[in-house]
Amino acid sequence: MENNSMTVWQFFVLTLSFLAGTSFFFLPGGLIAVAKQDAWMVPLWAGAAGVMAALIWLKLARQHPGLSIIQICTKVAGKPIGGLFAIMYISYFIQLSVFITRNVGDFMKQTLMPITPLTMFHVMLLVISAYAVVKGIDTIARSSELLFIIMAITFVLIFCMALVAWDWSRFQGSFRMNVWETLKETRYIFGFPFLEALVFLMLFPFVQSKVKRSFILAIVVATLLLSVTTFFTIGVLGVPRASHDTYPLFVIAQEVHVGTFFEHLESTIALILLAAIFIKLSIAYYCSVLGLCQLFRISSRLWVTLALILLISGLSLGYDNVVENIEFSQRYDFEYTLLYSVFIPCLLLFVTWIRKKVKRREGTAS
Amino acid sequence: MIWFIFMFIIMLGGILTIMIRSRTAAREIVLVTSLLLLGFADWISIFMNHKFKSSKIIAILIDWVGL
Repeated sequence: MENNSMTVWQFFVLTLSFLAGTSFFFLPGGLIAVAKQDAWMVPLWAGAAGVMAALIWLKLARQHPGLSIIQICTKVAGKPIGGLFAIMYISYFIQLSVFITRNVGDFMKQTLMPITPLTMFHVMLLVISAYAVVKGIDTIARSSELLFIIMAITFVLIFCMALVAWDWSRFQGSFRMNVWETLKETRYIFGFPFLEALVFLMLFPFVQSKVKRSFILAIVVATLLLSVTTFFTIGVLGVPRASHDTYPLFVIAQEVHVGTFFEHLESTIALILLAAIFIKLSIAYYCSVLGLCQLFRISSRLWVTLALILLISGLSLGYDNVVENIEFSQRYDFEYTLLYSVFIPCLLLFVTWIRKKVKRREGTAS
Repeated sequence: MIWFIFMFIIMLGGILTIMIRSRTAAREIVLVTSLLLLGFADWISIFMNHKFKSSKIIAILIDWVGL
């Protein structure tokens, strides 16, 4: 029997792993290429925007306690329009799963196993995530609780070992960025990872208490961690190297060696990334399945989960190469995520407010 | 591709048989079949070298809206 609830700590860990887990690897290189020595500031303002968006989602969730975004859509906007919004959200969750799946494929093919076909990575990760999804949110939360500790310890160890290569002179030329230009060119960081956290609108009903505090705290901690990682990448690799690498953290791990005993830690960092991607994919995948089950009032998740493996693995081959993937992310990710994370929730909040006002007026009139 | 189609037909037949035998609700059967057929169509588009690119459609829509 599934236990449909999460503790505050589990929710915090789940949110933090979702936000920080993969962005550690994929973001610093792009940010440093644009903002140079000041790249560590970019996650700070993006995190502030993320907190503001989170307050909108929490307000919406508080107006409709115990309901997920799919149920809120159909309740507030009625069956035809609400159903359309719900399908849009489900398609967003599926597209997010596709994006995450493709990220792991690109990473593994580029760094560790160049001859293995992409589909192998995709299908293997999807099968494991599908198993977690079938088992339920409780299983995902518990596994993330366990993996989070291992991930955190490994990160701290690698950071400490890499500090040998630290050089303050790599920060020369700081505080010279054009804020508006940088904001425009790094706008994708608002979408990935901060606005993507809208998937938690599906998971708020599972949290027993203190949703607001743990959710906001997780976003703040993820922001600080991302900023520190970018700062660390600049200090260890320097701007020219970090901006030319797709995965700078992987390069740092490759170059770490303490004597002749600790060498080639890149496979360790690859395992950490796989764990982070597993958590993120499981959450996005779970939200897609749960959304479909709630919209079509289906009690069992098993068959829907299995059917989605075929669709997600097929769609994740829709990018020709990693460059296309990065280009889409940089050019369109912010605009695409903004629709689901700000426009529709604000619209739903507005309709809820109008409905409540009309109901109150009718109550006083009668 | 022949092998993929063959395996898909067997899988679809197997899943439908299990679902019908366990008296699953009709809407669940329709939903699962639709998802499987969508996935199948996507894979066939890959085999035919005319990949369906969901990201390209999103990009075209965003450009069309003018964001």
